[in-house]
Amino acid sequence: MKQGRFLGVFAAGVYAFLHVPLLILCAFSFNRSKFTIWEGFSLEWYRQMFADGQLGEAAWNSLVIALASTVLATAIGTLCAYGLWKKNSKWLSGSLYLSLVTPEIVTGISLLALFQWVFRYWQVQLGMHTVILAHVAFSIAYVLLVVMARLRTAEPALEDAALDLGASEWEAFRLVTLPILKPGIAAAALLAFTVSFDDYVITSLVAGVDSETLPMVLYAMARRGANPVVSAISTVIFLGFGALILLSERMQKNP
Amino acid sequence: METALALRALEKSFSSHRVVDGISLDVPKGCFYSLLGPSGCGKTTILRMIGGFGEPDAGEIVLNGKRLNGLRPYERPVTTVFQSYALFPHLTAAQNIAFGLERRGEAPAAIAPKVNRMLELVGLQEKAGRMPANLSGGEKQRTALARALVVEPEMLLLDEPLSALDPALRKRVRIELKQLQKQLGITFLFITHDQEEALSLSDQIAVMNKGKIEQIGTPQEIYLTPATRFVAGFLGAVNWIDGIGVRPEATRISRATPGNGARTVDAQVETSVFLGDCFHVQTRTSAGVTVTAQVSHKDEPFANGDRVHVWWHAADELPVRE
Ligand SMILES: Nc1ncnc2c1ncn2[C@@H]1O[C@H](COP(=O)(O)OP(=O)(O)OP(=O)(O)O)[C@@H](O)[C@H]1O
Ligand SMILES: [Mg+2]
Repeated sequence: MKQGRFLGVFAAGVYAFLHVPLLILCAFSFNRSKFTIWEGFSLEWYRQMFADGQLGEAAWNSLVIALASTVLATAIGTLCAYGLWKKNSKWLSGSLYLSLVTPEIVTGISLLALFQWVFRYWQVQLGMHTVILAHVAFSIAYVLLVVMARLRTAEPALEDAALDLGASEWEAFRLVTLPILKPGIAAAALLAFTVSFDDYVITSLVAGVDSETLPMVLYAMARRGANPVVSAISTVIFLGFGALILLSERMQKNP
Repeated sequence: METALALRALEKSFSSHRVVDGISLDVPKGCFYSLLGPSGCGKTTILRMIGGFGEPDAGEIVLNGKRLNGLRPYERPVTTVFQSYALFPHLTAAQNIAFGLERRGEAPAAIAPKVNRMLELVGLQEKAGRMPANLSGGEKQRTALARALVVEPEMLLLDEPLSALDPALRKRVRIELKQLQKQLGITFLFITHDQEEALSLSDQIAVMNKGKIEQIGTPQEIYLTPATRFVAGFLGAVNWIDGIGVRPEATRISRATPGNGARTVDAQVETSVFLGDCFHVQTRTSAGVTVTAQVSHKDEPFANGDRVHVWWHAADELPVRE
């Protein structure tokens, strides 16, 4: 009994530690005061948020970058996973996972170095395209991880059966493997979208003047001092992603 | 008889381990032909080479006069019932069966009646719209069979298609399978490690061991006149008495001295096991060899320790070479 009560308190503490910051953030985004004293309910910060042109542009940039890099990374990552599954090479898969454990700052600096080197020969500048390329580069490993997990549960004899019944290799992939992988690919795309939308370190290194993303603008605003608009945006982002994840769970349950 | 499939000196190694070691055989048209051998003797490897999943290192595969070596699986006029059935989990039973017809570019109007006829043939009309996950083991097996047969292959390859079923169902499906093969007249190459299955189903059996063929013959031939000790032992129990093989059902025991013409050894009864339709009486000869005799209920009962004569007819000795 005594032990049971202790465990309950402990669990409540951990949950509080995890979730209270989010609740506070959410609450103060509706506070009339600019400071962390409750003065009454207000939608002022949300109004300011929608009126801010720079924020709107950054949000648009973030969405474009996240969508483009998700589409590319999901396509490339899925094909990579398929190839690795067929070849069954420890070496190749190992080297792809390497990018998961590389510190972001190292990935960012190395990508920047690559772009600067290439720009010596090509008259191009940092911008949306470099951010998208960078995001594709680091999202592929996440896609790979999720799709590989799904492939490992697939029966290799299924593609043999398709070929045996007259399907070409491409038809076997398109008509048998791809439909089986669909839930895995959807989950991978969601993950790729999340890590892309969220990224700050790498993005800030390879972004140009025209390609500021939402996390970059938020970071700059937050550094300038307490600002309830930041809380408002964060709340919107949090709710948006929550809805996205619920939706994807729904889709996976009834495909 | 016309030959459907001919294998000529087929060889296949996996990392220097010779899994298929010079296999040659002829499967006559319309024959139910079994490859029988213990686990790991290379049966699946042979079947996969015929289907186009792995090229032989040496040798030829010829089907109805056409060389299959080097052709892609979809270019070969054979289909396979896989050991795991490999039904497409995202398609219904009917869609699984239609898959091969669609790949051959048949018109949808022609596909539906063929699928329905197949469903009827294997008794799955009611289950046409079910997903594989919602089919029983026997229904999955029949769906896999229908899917492979509907494209009218020149030959059907079956990789232990009954091994995933429970024993009671297996016996029933065995009879259905044999009837279906007779009815359709398609050549079956059937893989199994179950000697009872091979004996009851096949027109011809090739017994394999360690990548080589030990003997080819009808079920009677290989059971009654096994060419090697391995074949004799793999197809049923054998008493080896001074290098001579005699099956338990041909081995007799009696207290009285047997008559002329019988080969006799003195022995002592060790145990007697009731098997329902008969007794298996285990004895030990004076030379220390264990000999089992099958004894009917009507025979005089034997008690442990009884001194008896073990005897058999010379004609019942298995004519093994080694
Ligand atoms: N792709 C492969 N790579 C390496 N070794 C293999 C491969 N396929 C089969 N083998 C080996 O070849 C041998 C024969 O395998 P095969 O599957 O042909 O046996 P089988 O007679 O079908 O056995 P079972 O009755 O257990 O299915 C086995 O020792 C197996 O481990
Ligand atoms: Mg096998």
